[in-house]
Parts: sequence; C-alpha cells; structure tokens
Amino acid sequence: MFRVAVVGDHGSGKTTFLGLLYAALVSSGSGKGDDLRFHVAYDSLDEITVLFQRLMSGGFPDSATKEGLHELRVELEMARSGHGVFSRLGSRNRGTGQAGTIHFSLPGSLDEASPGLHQGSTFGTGKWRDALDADALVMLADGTRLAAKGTDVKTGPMAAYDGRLEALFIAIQRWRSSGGREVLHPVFVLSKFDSVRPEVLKVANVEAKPPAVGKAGLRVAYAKALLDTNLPRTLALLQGPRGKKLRFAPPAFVFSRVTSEAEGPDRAERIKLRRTDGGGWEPDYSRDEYLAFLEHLARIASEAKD
Amino acid sequence: MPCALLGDRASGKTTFLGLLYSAQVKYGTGVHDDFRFHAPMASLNVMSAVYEGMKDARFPSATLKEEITELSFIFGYLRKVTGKLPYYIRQQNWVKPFSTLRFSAYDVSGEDIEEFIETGIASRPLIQQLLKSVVIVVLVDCSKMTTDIDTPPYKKMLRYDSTVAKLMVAFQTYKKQEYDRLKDSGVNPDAPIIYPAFVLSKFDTLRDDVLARLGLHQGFPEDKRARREYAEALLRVFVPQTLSQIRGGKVAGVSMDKAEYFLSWVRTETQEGMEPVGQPRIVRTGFRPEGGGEPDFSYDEYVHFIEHFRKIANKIPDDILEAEKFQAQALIRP
Repeated sequence: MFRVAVVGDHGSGKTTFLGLLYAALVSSGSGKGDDLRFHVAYDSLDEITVLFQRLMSGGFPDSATKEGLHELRVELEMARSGHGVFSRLGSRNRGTGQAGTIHFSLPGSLDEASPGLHQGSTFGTGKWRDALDADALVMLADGTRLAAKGTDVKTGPMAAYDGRLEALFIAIQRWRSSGGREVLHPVFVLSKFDSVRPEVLKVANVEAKPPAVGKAGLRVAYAKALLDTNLPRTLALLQGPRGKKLRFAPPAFVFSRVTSEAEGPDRAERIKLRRTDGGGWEPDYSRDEYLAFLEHLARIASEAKD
Repeated sequence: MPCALLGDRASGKTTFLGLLYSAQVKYGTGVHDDFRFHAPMASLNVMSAVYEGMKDARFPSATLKEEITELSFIFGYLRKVTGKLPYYIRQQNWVKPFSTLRFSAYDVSGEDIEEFIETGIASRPLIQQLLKSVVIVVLVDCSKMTTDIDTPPYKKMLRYDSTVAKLMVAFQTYKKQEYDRLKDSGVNPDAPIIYPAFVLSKFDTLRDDVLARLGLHQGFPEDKRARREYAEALLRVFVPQTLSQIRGGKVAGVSMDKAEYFLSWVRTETQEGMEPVGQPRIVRTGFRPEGGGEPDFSYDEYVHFIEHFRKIANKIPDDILEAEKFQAQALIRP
C-alpha cells in the first residue's frame, strides 16, 4: 500500500484538495476513455461521498465534513502513456496499467500539531505517525498567503509554516534513521492559486497562469520562483546534503485552483459549477492538475512496488 | 442459482415486477415455446395483482420492505439439445430440458450490507443469500436525474448517486472478501463472477430537452455496444460515482464490465394546467370488453431483458456448480 500524508496549516485547503482529487477520480473513472479506473475502499465511502456531494452542490467543506474526513483509500489503475497503438486496445491491454492501493491520510492541521513535532521530535506524535511513515508527503501552501520576492523570509506570512514543515521533515528523518522506507516523495500543492496576489506574481517575474502539466522543467522553475521566498528552509532541507538514510525524491508541484463566487456581501463563498462535456456539472477547478498529480502518484507507487 | 433484484427504496421494483409479469405473459404465450416463467403462489399473487392494477391504470402503492423480500420467480429457457428430445425422454428425472435462473427481489439499503461486511453477521438471512447471487439486477431510478442545479431534486440526486455507489462497492467488497477467504483456505477459486444488469427505471420521467442536451435520442439503440454507451452517457451525468464504481470493479478484482442495460418506462397521462394530485394514471392500450387494458410500457426492453438471461442461464449452472464444489471442499478442510 502506498501511503500519502496530506499536511498543511488550518484553512490551507486540505479537505478541499482531497475532495477535488476524488472528483477528478470520479470524472475520469466514469469517463468514456479507459485511461483511469479506481475502486474506493468501502470504509472510505461515507465521508468522501458526503464531501463530494457538497462540492458538487457548490459548497466548500464545512467544519463537520472536515472533522469527519481523515483518510481515503483507493485502488487505482491508470493506463501507461506512450505505448502507441497498444494503449488504445483498452481492456484487453489492462495488464500494462499501474495498479495499487493508495492510502491518503489527513493527520490534522500542522499548526495545531503537538509542540514536540514542531521541534522535530517523534515522541507522542499520535495520528501524525501517518506522516512519519508516508511514502509521499503532500504539503499545501496557501496561495493567498504567498509573499512577494524580497520579503524578509524570517517574518514573512509563511515563515512559521516553513519552520513547521522543516521540523516535520527532521522528525521523519529521525523516525526512519533506524528503519522504514528509504525514499520520501515531496509534493507541494499551491492551493487557492487563482487568488495569488498579482504583485507576488509580478515581482517573481512569472505569468499569472502556471505552465501546462506536460512542461516539467518550466513548472519547477515557476514554482521555485514563488516558493524560494516563502518556504526557503523546507526547500533547502530537501536539497540538503546526502548521506542520510532517508532520501528525498525531486519534489513535484500542483497548482490547485477552484473558482469561487460570493453570493452577496455577507454570504459565504460558493464554488462555481461548470458544464461538463457530457452535459452534467462539476466544480470549476484545475482538473488537469489533479489528473497529472494522480498520474505522478500512480507512477511513483508503481516504482515503489517494484 | 439465486439472482438478486436490487434497488433503493421507491426505485420501482414492484412496478418492474408487474411489468415483467405482463411481458412474460405475452412473450411466453406467443410463438416462442422455449421460455417458461414460474413463481411461487404468494409471489404470483402479488405480481398478478400489481399487473391487474396497472391494467386499471393504477401504479402499485408503496411496498413494505418485508413484502418485497418475499417475491421470487424463475425464468426457464429450453436448452438447445436436451430441449429438443422427444417428450417422453424430456420427462425423465435425469433430463433437465430447461436451464433456470431464480430471481429474488431484495429491498436493501447500503446499511444492511454494511453490517454484514463489518461484522460477518447478517441481521436477515436474506442479506447473506443476496450477497451470494451471481446475477444481480440493479434498478436505477431515472426520476431522480436532473441537471437543474441549486434545486432540492439535484441534491437528492447527488445523495442517490452516493447510495447506489455504496451498494455497488459493498457488493464488490463482499465478493472479493469471499474470494480471498477461499484462497486463504487453500482452495484455488476462479475470479469472482458477477453478471450485472442495470434497469433504468421510470425512464419516461427524463425530459426530451435533458436527453437532447446529452446528445441522446428518446429510444434505446438495438446494438449491444450502442446500448451500453447510451446508458453510460446517462449514468455519467447523473450518477457518476455509481458508474465509476461499476467500471472500477475490475480494479478490485470483481469485474462488472459485462453489464447490460435496459430501459423501463410506463406511459402516464399528462395533465393540462394544474399539477396532478396523487399518483399519475397509466396510459393503456388494447382495451377489453370486460374492462381494463394493457399498460403502455417498454415491452421490447422487457423481452430483451428476458432474452439476455438465456445465455447466462445456460452458462451459469456449470460454472457455479464448480464454485460450490470448491466452497464445500474449503469448509471441510481443517
């Protein structure tokens, strides 16, 4: 089983991220193509379907939904790309797909975790054990809190979060110094990316829209242009000296966007829904980013199995 | 071999059974002599009562949960070889001229199955029997399908999608658990076999403009592949979680890829002006001197349904006999 821990501060969008991921799975899993099929574990269904209903009705997750959702387990099979005519043989060629169980866990908000964890301690970590044992760590960086290049990194809006992430990685390294998985795959999700302040993008000298999912090199450069200022300690640790038992894979980046609209001055924001090709409705979100993330997960999960 | 007819509350199971009864009466007494229908007296009484009510333009009243779980019927299909033997040979006990499928209707919710999966204990023996079925027919209620967002019916449809998806996953989970249990016992079972069929009930409630927006015509195609594409186009829009889990069963080791789809509709009287009060009235054709008429419904689809299971009936007994043999062996092993 490939374990993915989703971490972030309170309000960074962890539950929404998982809900949109499930929406992407449902959309592709029910689509005409044969590229993706998935099966939800029975014990994950209750909470995730409630969240799905909420998103499909235009609502962000409420506190009850957030409280209830702690994990999502799916078996995923994605057709491998680049196999030419053989990839179009459909079910007859399913043996070349990447299959595996992926377990997503939400240990909680990082800013509400135990003080010990904030100092890199593994003692008394409780439900954060999922993060310590994870194969992949998905870290949400709230796009609305990104600071412009040139901001003092020690006092910037994400300085504290940067410190907490660094401490989490140190705790993971300590935890695995005596055993456990030797590779950790970091993934940065820049959430609420449609709400990043224009001056932040301007100062970083990047376009408003990130490069398309197929352009890996450009995406890395784009993300680093924004995160070097905001998460410098975490990035430095991931690129740090080798020789330790735990190896960090090159990070992946997801730019998550979901269009929202306020119904009135005193009304809560609602998710804007858009028409699908088939005539139905779905949240207006960056679906291609989520599918690319799933493909990335499927690939690294498959490699971990091998 | 037991086959299950499933559907959430008010999905149209009773109406479906009444129409099936109507279809088999007409089909079985037609030129085809190779199909037989049999039901226990209690079930026959219920089904024929529903049918008689529909001949008087009445839909059946809401069925109690206990009532519908008592309903069962058998389809019999004349076998190609033994069925053609002389009458006096066919009457011998050792000759089985008909392959049969025994259907039982279950009014179950996801919670019924959840209890069994989590504890291994079924509050009702019928649940365990249901989960052993190889043929499952699931009713999907088209009256819950709408594209009008921000309306109560839309939210109801989202909830319904979750409910049916959960039923599918529960069924697949149970089948996989049983397969794993047999493997762990040292038996080498074949992959779980399910022959699923989906009946899109109350299809007449879907408006033409909704179908047009989906690029679909009013009628169901004849071709098998085209039928599946048509049905999946509907499910994709209205119950996407359910469709994703039907297609995802293969990943879980319980394939539902050979699912067949059928439409069920009954023409009802349209009212001018004010909204009708109470149940709509069924449109009838072929009025009789003694009163009543035949309900105007998707007869061809029901014939298609009856014929679909002919191949499965011929195939299942041997496959399942082997599986039952394996299961018996697993139980007696230490």
